[in-house]
Amino acid sequence: MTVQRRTLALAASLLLIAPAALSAQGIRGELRVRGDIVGFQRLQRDSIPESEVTGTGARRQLADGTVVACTTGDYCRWYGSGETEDIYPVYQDLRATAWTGVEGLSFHTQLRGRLGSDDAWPRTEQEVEAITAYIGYRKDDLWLRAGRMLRSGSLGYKNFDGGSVAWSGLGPLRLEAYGGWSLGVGLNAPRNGQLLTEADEWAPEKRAYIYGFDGALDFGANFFANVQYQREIRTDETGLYSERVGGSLRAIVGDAILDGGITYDLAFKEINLARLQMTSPLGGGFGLVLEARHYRPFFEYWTIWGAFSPVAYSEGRGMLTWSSPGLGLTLEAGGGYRDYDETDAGVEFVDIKEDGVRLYGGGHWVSGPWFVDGGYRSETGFGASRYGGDLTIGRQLGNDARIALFGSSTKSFGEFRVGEQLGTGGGIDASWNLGDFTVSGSAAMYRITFDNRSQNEDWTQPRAHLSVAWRFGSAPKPRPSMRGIGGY
Amino acid sequence: MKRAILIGAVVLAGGASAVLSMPQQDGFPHAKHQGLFPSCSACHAGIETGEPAEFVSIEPSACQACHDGQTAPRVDWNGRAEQPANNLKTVHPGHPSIPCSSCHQVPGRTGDMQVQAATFDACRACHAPDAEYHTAAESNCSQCHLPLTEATGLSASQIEAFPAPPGHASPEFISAHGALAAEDVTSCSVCHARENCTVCHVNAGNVPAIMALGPDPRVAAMTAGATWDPPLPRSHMVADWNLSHGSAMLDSPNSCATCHTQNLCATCHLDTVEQIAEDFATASSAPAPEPFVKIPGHAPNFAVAHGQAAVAATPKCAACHAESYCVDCHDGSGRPSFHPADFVQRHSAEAWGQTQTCSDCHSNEAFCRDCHTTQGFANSGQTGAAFHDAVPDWFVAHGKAARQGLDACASCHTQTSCLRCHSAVEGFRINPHGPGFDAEAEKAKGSCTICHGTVPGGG
Repeated sequence: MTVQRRTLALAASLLLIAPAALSAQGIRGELRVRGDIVGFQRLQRDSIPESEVTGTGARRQLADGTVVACTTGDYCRWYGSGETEDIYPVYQDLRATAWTGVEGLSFHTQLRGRLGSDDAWPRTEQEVEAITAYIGYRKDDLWLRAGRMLRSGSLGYKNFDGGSVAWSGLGPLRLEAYGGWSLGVGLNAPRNGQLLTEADEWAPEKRAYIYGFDGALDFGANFFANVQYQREIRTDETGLYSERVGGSLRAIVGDAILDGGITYDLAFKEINLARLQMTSPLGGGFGLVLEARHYRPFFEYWTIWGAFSPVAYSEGRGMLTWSSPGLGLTLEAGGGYRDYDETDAGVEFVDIKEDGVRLYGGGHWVSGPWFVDGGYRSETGFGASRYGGDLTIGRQLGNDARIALFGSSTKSFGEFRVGEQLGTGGGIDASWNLGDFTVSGSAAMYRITFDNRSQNEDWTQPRAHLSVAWRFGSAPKPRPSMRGIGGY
Repeated sequence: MKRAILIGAVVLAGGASAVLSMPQQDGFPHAKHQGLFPSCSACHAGIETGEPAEFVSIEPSACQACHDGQTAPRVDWNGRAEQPANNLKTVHPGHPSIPCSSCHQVPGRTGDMQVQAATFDACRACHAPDAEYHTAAESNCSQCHLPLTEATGLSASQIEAFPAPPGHASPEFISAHGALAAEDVTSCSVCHARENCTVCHVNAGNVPAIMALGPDPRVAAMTAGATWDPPLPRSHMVADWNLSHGSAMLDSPNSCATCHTQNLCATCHLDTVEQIAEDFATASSAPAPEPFVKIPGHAPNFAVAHGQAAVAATPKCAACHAESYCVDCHDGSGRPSFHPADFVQRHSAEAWGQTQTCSDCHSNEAFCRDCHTTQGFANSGQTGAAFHDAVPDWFVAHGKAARQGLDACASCHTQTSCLRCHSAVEGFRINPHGPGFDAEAEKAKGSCTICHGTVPGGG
């Protein structure tokens, strides 16, 4: 069964539930349709016969300075600009919560369609997906759920088809067990569906069962700790896709919040993430955030990546903030330094950085209906680096509308490629609530230019979107946000 | 309704005002002295001066001029007795000049000295000719009654004994009284002082009508320690009030500010607290919240570091956030609000630096690689180091970069690409395992067959 057929089957099952929702005591939700225009420039591989390039060796230069990779007796190759085109992603989102009339029994769903979307955009072949669709029942200390769920825990976000039982009847102790059929990370589709099989020759051929347990001690805001275990096993039980354990801690000590977590890969016996953050006000409007972090990526066991021995980095991060409600001003500045573990790979004569630095400074100012948001970011690392800033100036128009101008300029270099890229541009973003409808849109242009890459052509990238959302039932009316303008 | 409340407030003072309606049986027998006194002000100088102490200005010695036991019998009068405390206004100064008899004439009698204390009916004859006693829609409590803060002679027990106007018992009164007070706070002031309001109104200092009442030590003593357990407003009884209250707050911030301070908002709204403070500033007297950390609040970097908090407080998160709020970012194919502008063009550095864990939301294979393939970035089967042209001898050098940033590599390269060299059964058979790799780790053996054809060591 393909991904689409499975999703359609799930959607059909939702139709069976729909009568209950329609006759429900209450229903609220939102239907949103969004269309985008995004321009992009393809990267084109090109070549000339090796005999036509002067010099020797595998790495040579053309007359215009372009670095090419040559194979003796064959060709010299490079990547330059290809054609430029615009693509048109389209989304349809339906979110709904229905109360059935039976106390504690409710139905929740979020469906996403990509009907009519441009094929060049990722995942457009998944025309309909159910992100969530589950029935929940709460009574006293018991919470039962069944259907397609997204569950957040110490091991991150996990989606699956199945059920869960949560119980909190013993003081601060909270227990939960869950299980079912797991789905691909970020896909809302089985691992053996066409999304993965078309993307990777070695994609799993079997679905997976998932089960897990979560125990927590919850003393309210002052102290929380939990431990989670989760296992995903092929349905033919011949192998695992993941087996991990994680924990979280959140505690208040004096004025400070301590917030930490750890995840551990039971197969490779490695810590994937260990972090501890302290957040504390310093008085006078100042605040401090300090964080220590150790990170090694986790790869599911159906891939070979975990066996390639990826290394971890350890990082210290800090952020200082200052806020003045009277002035409507918030300023932030921070940074971090990370250092990678020894890789035992590579060669001495090629220098690849083993550390990285990130810096950030920014602010947010509100005065009457006006708001200004800006920041500067610098990221220097072994694989890619960039530095640049962005600025948004906007105005709230009453309670239901907002308009803003935004712009950014970023210089980036990396991917172990010669040259740099500068992207500079900006646009306008607006949102307007009209009764039960919200209309929002943006339009922007970015000029992309290249330094030291003669085979890349400067170009102008258009970006625009238009979104219409209709709220039904008692869905809350959102206030046009001052944040996130120009994202994506 | 509004007028009924105003009238009700006047009725509160009825105990004192009832004096108006009673002929002064114990007072001076004016009728017996008819023809003896040419003007009222000869004995009642206060009528013209407005000085209550001189309302009866004549001295006992003046009586004795006639009541000396010979001309007329002696009388036992030693001056005006202390009057019971009331909250009546002295109306004579400033009142339009009309004959005294207009208000003081005993009904049905004629003659200069056939007078009595003015009754409310006498006032009503001009001021509210069609109204019932103390219930006229046109009545204004303050027209006859002093503000409570000026009726200093009243005791606390007298104030407590003020009858509540019927209008105050209406269920709507609690939500309507603010507008009524704003329109005519002087009527309220007859029975109420500022301390009556501060029992409930946390924002009293910013409400002009409340501040206009003025403080009163008797009321302060009466209300000291008093608390109010307000009934839940009907608007709060909808299931999603935690999510939908924003519009109501914006429509009527003063209503919210009656019971809530900015600090309550700051419990959840740290990211947007500046705006909320602004919206709420004119409505709340509470100090503005510290917009940094409010427990259990959101720290400045909460948008990217909320994982543990979300785990710790999933039920609490749900008080304000619908599940779809999380999906907006975590589903990974919509338009996230926390990525900065133009992120699609400049995300490379973040991906390599693993600022956030991209794969928490995005499928490396079906999202990242799909897009990189479309754009021509992703490896499509060719060999050669044409793409990574900044590093000489990339083939022998890439191992270090790969181990440091395998996530980023896998966003372009398929497993098949790497297997050309790193397979154990074909190609260059280069071992990709680092030092300490546990080949006997049984749990992940499913992937061994991809490179080895079989699971090393069986299994």
